[in-house]
Amino acid sequence: MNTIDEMDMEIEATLRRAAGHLARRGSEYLEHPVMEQPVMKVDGARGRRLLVGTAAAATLCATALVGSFIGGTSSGKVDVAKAAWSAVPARPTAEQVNKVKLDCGITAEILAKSETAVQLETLGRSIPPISPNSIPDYMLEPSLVDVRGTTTTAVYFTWTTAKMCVQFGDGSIDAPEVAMTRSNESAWQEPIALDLFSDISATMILGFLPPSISGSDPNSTGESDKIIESQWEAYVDAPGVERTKASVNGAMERFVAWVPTAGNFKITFVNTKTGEERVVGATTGSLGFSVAPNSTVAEPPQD
Amino acid sequence: MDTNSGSGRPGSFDELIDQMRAQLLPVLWSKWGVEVGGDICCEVEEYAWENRDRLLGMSNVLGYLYRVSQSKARRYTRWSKRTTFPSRFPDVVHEDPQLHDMLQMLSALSPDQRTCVLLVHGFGWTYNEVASLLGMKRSDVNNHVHRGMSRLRTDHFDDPLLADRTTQSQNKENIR
Repeated sequence: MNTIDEMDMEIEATLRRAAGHLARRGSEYLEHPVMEQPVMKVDGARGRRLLVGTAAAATLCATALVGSFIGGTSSGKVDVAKAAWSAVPARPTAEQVNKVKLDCGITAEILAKSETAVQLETLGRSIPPISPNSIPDYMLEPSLVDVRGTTTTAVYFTWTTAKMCVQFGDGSIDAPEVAMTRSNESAWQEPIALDLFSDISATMILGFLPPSISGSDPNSTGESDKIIESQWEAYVDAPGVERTKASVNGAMERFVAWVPTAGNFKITFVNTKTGEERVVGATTGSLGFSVAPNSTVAEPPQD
Repeated sequence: MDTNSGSGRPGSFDELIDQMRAQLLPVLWSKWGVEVGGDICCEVEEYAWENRDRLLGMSNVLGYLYRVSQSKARRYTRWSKRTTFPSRFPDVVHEDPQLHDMLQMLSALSPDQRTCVLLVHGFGWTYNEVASLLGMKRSDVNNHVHRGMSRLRTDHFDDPLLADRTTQSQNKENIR
C-alpha cells in the first residue's frame, strides 16, 4: 500500500463488495429476488486499473468462498472480474487478432527502436541503430495472442526483445517490452514476471517452454526433417488465484499469461505427450525489466 | 442509475414499486441497515399504496418517499430500542474478513456519510442522483462523501474491533 490512490482503489473495491453484500442480504431478508448490482462504468486508465483490481479482489473472494465452503453466494464483483480476466484463455478469433494488430500498430520502426534500446541496455555500450528494413515480416505478426475476458495481449518477438501489446476492454493499450533471449536450453527455468502496472497488483508472465522432445522421420536423415510438435502446456499458480492456463506457441516454444495479483508464482509445465511435469518459480519483477511504454530504459530490479 | 427525477417518473403503481426497490431500498439499507431498512421500505410501500394516486403525479416521488421513510424510521430509534446499521456482521467474518472490516468501519460513520459513501462508491450513483433522492445540495453530498472517505482511509488499517470510536460513535450517531 504505497499511495492514497492505491488505498482509495482498495477501499472503493471493498465498498462495492459491501454494497453487493447489503443488496444480497437485503433481498434475502425481504424475500425479494436478488437484484443484480448495477455495473459501474469504467473507462480510462483508472477504470482499467479498477477492473484489474476488481479481478484480483473477486478472485480472492471467490477462492475464499470455495475454499471454506461457507456461504456460497456469488458476488456481482465476480461478474465484473470475469469481464477483465479469466483463468483460461479464450481461443483468439481472426477479428480479435486483426483488431489488436491494428490498434497496437506495431511497425518495423517500432520493433527496430525497441530492439536497439534493449540491445543498448543489455550490451551496456552504444550500438548503431537497427534499421527497420532488417526486421523480417514474420516479426511483424504477433507470435502469441492471449485473450482473457476483455483483455487481449499480443506478443511480438524480435531477436532479443519481447514487445507486448495489452489491450483492455475499454480499448486502451499498454505496450511494455522486455529483453528476452534464449541463452541456452535452460532458458525455460527463468520466466519473466513483469509488473503489469506500477500501481496495481497484476503480473504478466512470459517465458520459454522446455525444449520439445523431437523425433525424426525414419526415412530421412536431414536436420530439417525433425518433427517438432507442441508438447508443453504451462500453468501459473499463485496464492488466492485459481490456476491460470497460459497461452503457448509450441513452434516458438514460448508462453504468456497475466494474473491479477503479484508475488510469488509457481509455473508448471505439463508435457501433454508424456505427462511429465516441470516446475519453476517466479516472483513479480524478476528477470525482466520494463522499457516501455515510453521506451525509456528502466533499471532491472535488484535481486 | 437513473433516479426518479424527470424522465423516470413511474406511470403505474407497479413501476413505482420497482423503482422503490431498485433505488430507494439501497438508500435505506445504507442508512439503516438491512433489517431496519427493509422494514421501513415495507412501511413506505404500504404508504405508497394508500397514497398512490397522489404520488404518481409527483415529479420526484422517490425523493418524497425518502422523506416519508425518515419519518417511519423514527420509531425504530426512539428510546434506543434498536440499533440500526449493525456493528457486528457474523455472517461474513470468516467468509470475507476484509468485507467484514469495511462494514464495521461503515457502521462507525454518521448515517449521512455512510449513505453517501455507499451510494457513490458502492452502488455507483452520481453525486447529482444522490442529491436528488436525499433532497440535499450536491455540495452537501460532496462533503459527506469526502468526510466519509477520509475517515475510512484513516481507519483502513486499524482493527475496528479495537477502536473505541467505532462502537461509541455508532451508538451516538445512529440513535438520532
